[in-house]
Amino acid sequence: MTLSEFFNEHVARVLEVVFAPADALFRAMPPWSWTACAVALLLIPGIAAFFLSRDFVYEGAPDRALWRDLRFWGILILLPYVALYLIF
Amino acid sequence: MNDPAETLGVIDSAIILSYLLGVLVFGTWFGRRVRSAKDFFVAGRALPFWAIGMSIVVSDIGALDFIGGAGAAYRYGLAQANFDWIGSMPAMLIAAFVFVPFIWRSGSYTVSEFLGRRYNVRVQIFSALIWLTFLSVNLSVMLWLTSQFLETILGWDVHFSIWLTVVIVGIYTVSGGLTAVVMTDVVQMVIMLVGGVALVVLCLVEAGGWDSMVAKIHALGEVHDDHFTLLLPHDTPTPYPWSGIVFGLGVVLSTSYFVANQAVVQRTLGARTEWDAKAGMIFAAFFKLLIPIIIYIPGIAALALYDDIQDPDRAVPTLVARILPVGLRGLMFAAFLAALMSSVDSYLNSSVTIFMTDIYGKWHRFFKADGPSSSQTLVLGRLLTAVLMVVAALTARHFENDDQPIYVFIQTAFSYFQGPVLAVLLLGILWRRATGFGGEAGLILGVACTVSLSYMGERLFPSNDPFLFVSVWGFLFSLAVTVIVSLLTRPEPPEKIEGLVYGSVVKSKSPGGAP
Repeated sequence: MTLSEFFNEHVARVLEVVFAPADALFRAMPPWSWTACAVALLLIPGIAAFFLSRDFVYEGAPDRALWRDLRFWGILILLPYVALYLIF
Repeated sequence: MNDPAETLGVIDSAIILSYLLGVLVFGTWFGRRVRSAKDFFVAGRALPFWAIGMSIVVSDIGALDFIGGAGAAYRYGLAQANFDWIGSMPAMLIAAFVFVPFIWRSGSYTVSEFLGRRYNVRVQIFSALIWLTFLSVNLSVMLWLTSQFLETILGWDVHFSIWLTVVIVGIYTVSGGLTAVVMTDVVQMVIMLVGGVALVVLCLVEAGGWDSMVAKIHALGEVHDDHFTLLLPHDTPTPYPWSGIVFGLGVVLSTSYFVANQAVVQRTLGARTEWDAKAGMIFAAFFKLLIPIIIYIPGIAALALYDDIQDPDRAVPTLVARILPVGLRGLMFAAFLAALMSSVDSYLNSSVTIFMTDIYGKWHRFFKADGPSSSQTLVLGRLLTAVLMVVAALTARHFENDDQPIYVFIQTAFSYFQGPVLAVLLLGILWRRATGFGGEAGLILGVACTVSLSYMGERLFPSNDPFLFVSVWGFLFSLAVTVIVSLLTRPEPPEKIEGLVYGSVVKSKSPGGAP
């Protein structure tokens, strides 16, 4: 018996109990929800960055000019990505 | 198609030769500045954010993407772009705002070194061996893909192509270290962008414009209906179902890649300030937006123009040989070499850093109370760089793979350990109760889990190439194992983990140049 045959005969049957419901859930989700998940994944880190302190974000910067606020860099760069997932 | 006289003009040859000589001289010039191990491995901590950002992107984009990625785009369509869009942006922001400052302030040279301090030496060595294997295999694959490209375009012998690359990249990487690697990366990024844009424009012109290209591909049959869709159904026959892309790639694989991959982390450690390190990562995220346009669109256009290419990995080489005029062909060729060399030099430098820090450094301390001196480390680092390059060249031919696109092959191998590494790293940073035994069990059993799952892939998952799902389940399994074993074992003493868990590190000020 090969390793592949062993796993498929003895282990896969048990794992299907866990994996089958997840598989069924993903199959049932409509296309708009796929896009929603992707857009949420893109936006969450960008928005979460605004909960960080300014001291933390500016640490090491030579000055505190607005253009050095990396939280704005993140949001600005995020927007085209979000647009792509909404279009395609 | 393979006759050099037909495919390469004198101007092309002059451009290619100028590029090769220019990179060699430019890279080697930085060798004059290298006087210590710190100069060699972390560029003397003097890199500005723009160089770090460009270097991260161009190191990530190599021959694998130009050939393998474009090949996958030829076969599967725009969904391939997910690897640079959703498979990069969220992870790069997380890396910039969480992991980069963390690694800076914790005083580690490599992620494996951090894992060793946070857990134990066995976790460090296991993690280091995993990354060394990944980087070394990638080196060989890149050399093999280069030789494929050169054979298709120029008819050059495979071995000659591999050794030519090895000699040029080897010389400047050995002499200039990380500074040479990063600064040549900047030049190579510009060349890659110019060459890539030229190829995209000509492809689209040849295909009659974007709308015409879309129509031609849709006319090829129902199998290509989703060729311009980013998120494909869960039961798609391609390896890229939306569920795997969002949760496997977007959450697990990409985060692990951008926070634990030494080739990425090392550039941020070479930054002149913590702000430059963070800004470099975000700057790289901007360039990542452009990469699918210059790499995957040509792969898709190749399908509209030549739908009879048997091996998808030959899509872009075929385009270059058939539609680019004299002069632009040389430029594109230089762009491809730039992509290749930038990845090879980065992986080479990072492999040596891991070996010197996590393997040799540890071994040395077992036998001697004091570690190796800076000059010893520098000499050994250079020697090892040369040896590794030769080994990669000798093993390159073994990575010929006719069964599936090489991009999928690499991602599958990658998925075996990405989930477990991320789980152990995350818990080590965020959870004070994680113990050495917990990390060890999570890492080893996690890799065993992902390898086992891959044997059952066709039965358990909807895709024939289930690496995206395997990575998610491997990550969750490793999280569970690390938590359970940690709770069953004695907590680590507070003094051991002080300065190594998130709260205590982030509340501290940046040491301004440590480690």
